[in-house]
Amino acid sequence: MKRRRASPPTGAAAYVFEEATRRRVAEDRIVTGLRGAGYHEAIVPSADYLAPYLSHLSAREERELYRFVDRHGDTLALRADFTIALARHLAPRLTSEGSPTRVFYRGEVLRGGAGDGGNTEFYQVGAELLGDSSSGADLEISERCLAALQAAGAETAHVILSAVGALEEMLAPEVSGPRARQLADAIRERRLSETAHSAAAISSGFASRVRRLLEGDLQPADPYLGRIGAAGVTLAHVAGALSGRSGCRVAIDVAEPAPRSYYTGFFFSVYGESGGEPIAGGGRYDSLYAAFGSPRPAVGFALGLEGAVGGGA
Amino acid sequence: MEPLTVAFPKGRIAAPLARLFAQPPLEIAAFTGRGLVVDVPEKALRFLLLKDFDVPTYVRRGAAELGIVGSDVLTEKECDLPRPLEFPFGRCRFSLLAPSSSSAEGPFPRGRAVRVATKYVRLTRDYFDQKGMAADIVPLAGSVEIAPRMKLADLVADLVDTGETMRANGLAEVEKICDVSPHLVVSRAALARRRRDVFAFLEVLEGMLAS
Repeated sequence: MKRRRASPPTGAAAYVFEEATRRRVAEDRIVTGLRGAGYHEAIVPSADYLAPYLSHLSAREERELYRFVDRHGDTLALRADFTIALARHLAPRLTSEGSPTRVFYRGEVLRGGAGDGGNTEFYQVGAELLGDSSSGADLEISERCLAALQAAGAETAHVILSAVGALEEMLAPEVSGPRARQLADAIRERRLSETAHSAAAISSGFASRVRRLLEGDLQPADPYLGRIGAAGVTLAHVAGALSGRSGCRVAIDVAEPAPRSYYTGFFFSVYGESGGEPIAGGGRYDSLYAAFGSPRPAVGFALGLEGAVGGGA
Repeated sequence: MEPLTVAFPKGRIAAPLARLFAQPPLEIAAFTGRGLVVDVPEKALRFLLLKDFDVPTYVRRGAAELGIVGSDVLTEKECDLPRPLEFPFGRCRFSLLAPSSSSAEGPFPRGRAVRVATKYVRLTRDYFDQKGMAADIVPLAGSVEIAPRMKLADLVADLVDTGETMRANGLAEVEKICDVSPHLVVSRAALARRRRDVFAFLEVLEGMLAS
């Protein structure tokens, strides 16, 4: 007799009764907020050809994909990320001119490889603002994300703001090129003694700057932000605006690693009151739509409903 | 203040860690008794006494803000947590071991993949991949040193400290795969939620390690 399996596979989950209702109610609240703010829904396939995605994924992200060969011999992958899927399917439908486009999406994504029993299936809700490269667009998306989390019941949000390349730029002019990348990696891993030794060999002033960057939490008026031009202006602008929100604690930490490899500029991660993973995140990916034939700046966020409803992931 | 929770390994680095933590200014007495959660309220610290391989899971999933774990476990579990401190004790190496009585042609069998018993499947597989050699990994949870004698494997991949256990089981070191050292790791969520507390604790430890 075949053994009956009562549990879903590791990393998957089923929700019934009150828990299912709670999640749907939260999702409805988020979607109502996004619609009210002028965002239109986009629906993308849950499985797609693998090839168009590969050049936008890091080696680790590629390993997370569930892939299979269909009956025609094509290699497909289950949806692991909405942003690339949306760019692929939306880009051919966008006109070259026009006002910014606002879209939102919702649905499951599957990412394999959670070695410690973490989720492999996530229900995401997210939104994107296309065609606007301003820091106002970055702020709009950050605020939409926090509003969505609040609608889902997350009372506290610890927001970390950063920008791709900002850390390396802040290490200039003392170090540059491969040396800057090496030191930046050590700072991202918060290696206290290694970074202290490398920086002290240059100057004590540089060593104290490196320590500040390693500890994070720069203030919007921090002179270090002036070293990175427009990215610093954006970080200060978004941090200043978000820090007034109730239940929201904001830190500018340029040593926070980018959550996905396609980010090109400003990005953020949001942690809840519990759990070890971010409950939401977002950022700017200005080169993604060009790769699908419709160049335009883009910024977006996604939240995981599991973490947002439960307060932590 | 809510205590900072530290995932503390019960394995081979527990004793030198306990000696470090007994020093001022921490002055935390060695953990005794069978309780696996130890509160030290006067220092606003809580320790979870865990198997070494469970430390990254507790920290990554937010059940502990900090953890102490070897680089062997971090690599094996593909753990990319920030690692602010490296401890100057408990260092050893992860090596490939063969029976001392291996034939003159060397420890690798001809005509088939070498069978290697280990607790570290990923580390061992990566090592043989890099060498371009086929290996049949035999995953074991412990006492790997007896696998060659029992014909379960040709070789063993394991930690070597003094080499006493290795020699006592008739094994010799063929090649070092990597150096291993204990690290203090920190959860990114803890940096977001309790940055000041985390760095205050790190500063204390940093000072103790420097003195």
